[in-house]
Amino acid sequence: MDTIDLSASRAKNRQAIEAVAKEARVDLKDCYQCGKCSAGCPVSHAMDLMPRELIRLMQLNSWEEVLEAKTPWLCASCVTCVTRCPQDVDLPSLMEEVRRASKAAGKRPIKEPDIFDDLFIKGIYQNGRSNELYLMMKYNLTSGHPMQDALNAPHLLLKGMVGFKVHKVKDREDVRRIIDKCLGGEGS
Amino acid sequence: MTMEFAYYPGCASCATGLAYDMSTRYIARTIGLKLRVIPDWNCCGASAAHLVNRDLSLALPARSLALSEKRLPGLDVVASCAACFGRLKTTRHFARESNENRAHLESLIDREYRAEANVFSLLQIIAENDDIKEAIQARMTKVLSGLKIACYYGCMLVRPTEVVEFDDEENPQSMDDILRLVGAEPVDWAFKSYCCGASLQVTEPSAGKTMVEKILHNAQINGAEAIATACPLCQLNVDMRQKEVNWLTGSSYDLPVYYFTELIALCLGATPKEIGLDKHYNPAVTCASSKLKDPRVAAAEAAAEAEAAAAAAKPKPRPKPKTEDTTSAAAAEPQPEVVTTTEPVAATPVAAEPQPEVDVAAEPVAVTPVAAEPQPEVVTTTEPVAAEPQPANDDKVVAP
Repeated sequence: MDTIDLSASRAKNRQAIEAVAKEARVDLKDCYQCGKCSAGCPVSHAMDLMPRELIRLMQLNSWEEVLEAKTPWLCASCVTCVTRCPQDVDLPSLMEEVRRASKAAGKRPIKEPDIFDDLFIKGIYQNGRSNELYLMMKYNLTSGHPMQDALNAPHLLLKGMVGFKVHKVKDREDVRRIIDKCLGGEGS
Repeated sequence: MTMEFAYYPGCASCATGLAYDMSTRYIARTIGLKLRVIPDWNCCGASAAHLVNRDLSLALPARSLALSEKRLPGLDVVASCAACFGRLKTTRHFARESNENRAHLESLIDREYRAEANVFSLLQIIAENDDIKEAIQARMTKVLSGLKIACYYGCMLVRPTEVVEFDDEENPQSMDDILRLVGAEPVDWAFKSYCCGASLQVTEPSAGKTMVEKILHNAQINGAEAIATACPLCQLNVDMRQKEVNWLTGSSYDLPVYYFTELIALCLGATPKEIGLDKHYNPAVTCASSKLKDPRVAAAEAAAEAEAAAAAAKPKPRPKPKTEDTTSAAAAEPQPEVVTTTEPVAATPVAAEPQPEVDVAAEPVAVTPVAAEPQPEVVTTTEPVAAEPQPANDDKVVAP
């Protein structure tokens, strides 16, 4: 039987976990595992780790499992969890930070939300506003789901709800500058 | 209270949320609510920005808010889309937490931003502004007589409380109250602020459909004929995905999904086409249109219903057994003359007419409609309403 040096690996994880929790302005010790977050989470049926379990693993310095979980990528930011949390643990922010850490660590258990959100920002970078038709078209082409919502598209087009005309911000450069500044020059 | 706001339309307003924008503008035009579009507003970033980068999620709305402060000074901002409202309000909230925060935002957007103008959702200004409510009531030409509607608020209008400062996170009532004003009957149901899934409907459709199914199911079992929303994405998700839910689960949900502004606009006299009611996936024109009634007709019908219900609730008098005193029953009819002598026949003694022992509910009672229920204070036209006998609780009836 192999021996596993838990202490060393866990100590390393501790730093990373604390950094992420600090970004989210969450003190992990606040959570006493009551489970109200998981009971109220509307997406919990699709998650691998319950919100409660995710925060528990972080309390126990189990970082790999958290980084590979689908949970932060499925979080809809509906804020139901923190509404019900008796300790006001900002779980939505924690989910966002874990998601960012997961991406930074090269893990992306579900690719679709990542693709979608990146395309959304690219769209704003281009026009200052989001054009739903182009967003959907680009998403379908890049996500590997080319026919998604193909049956719904004609209705939107015929009723004039989406169109090829793009509404643009006049001072698009201003918006691009802001995006570049926030994303550190990554922009488009 | 002010009837003038800076208006943040949001990206959906000229796309999937077109009907929301059309109906909002119809209401504004009709009641004299001035919505001044923020010049050169940009996308608020919606959920994508805050999932990608926290600074970005605050800077994008900050630019629009700063522009509003500069070009529309002194006006509070109103956003119709719930997500846009959430992002804008969160940004203002962040800026007001501390001067460092505000300065940080200003450095990101390279503009001055004082974070003084407040940010409201459209639902909020209609719910909380008495002038707007009165203006709607003054110009209503129709009511939605008894449309059983499930008011669906979604997440971003009512959560988190410390940011949005509006209504209740778990059991909001503002939309219910507004729709009650226009004659609808909001139902009590459990999924009022349950998440619709937002962009998960695109990125994780299977997870998303379960969420929509739960909303539809709970609305239906609580007696709703339709659902009302105040967010373009909620409306799109519950409307567009309804058929898909039916395909997947074998259910047969058929609930039109309205914007609450469409329902108000209909009562203000809009045609369905004027407000984009024909753009819904699940046909929505018939359900609402069939409930539109003249307020006086609706009041009369409601009163007659209430009268019948009250009468039906009265305990039935016990019917008298037939073997007892038959003369009292027979006395109601003239006795057949029995000629036995040539003497003039004495007039048949007619007993005093007995109290009618008829079940009151059996015969329709024709009375002038009495407003037994508290009626909404609807003033439809300037001509005086026909005089009605004042009921005991006439403090609820507005004098014409």
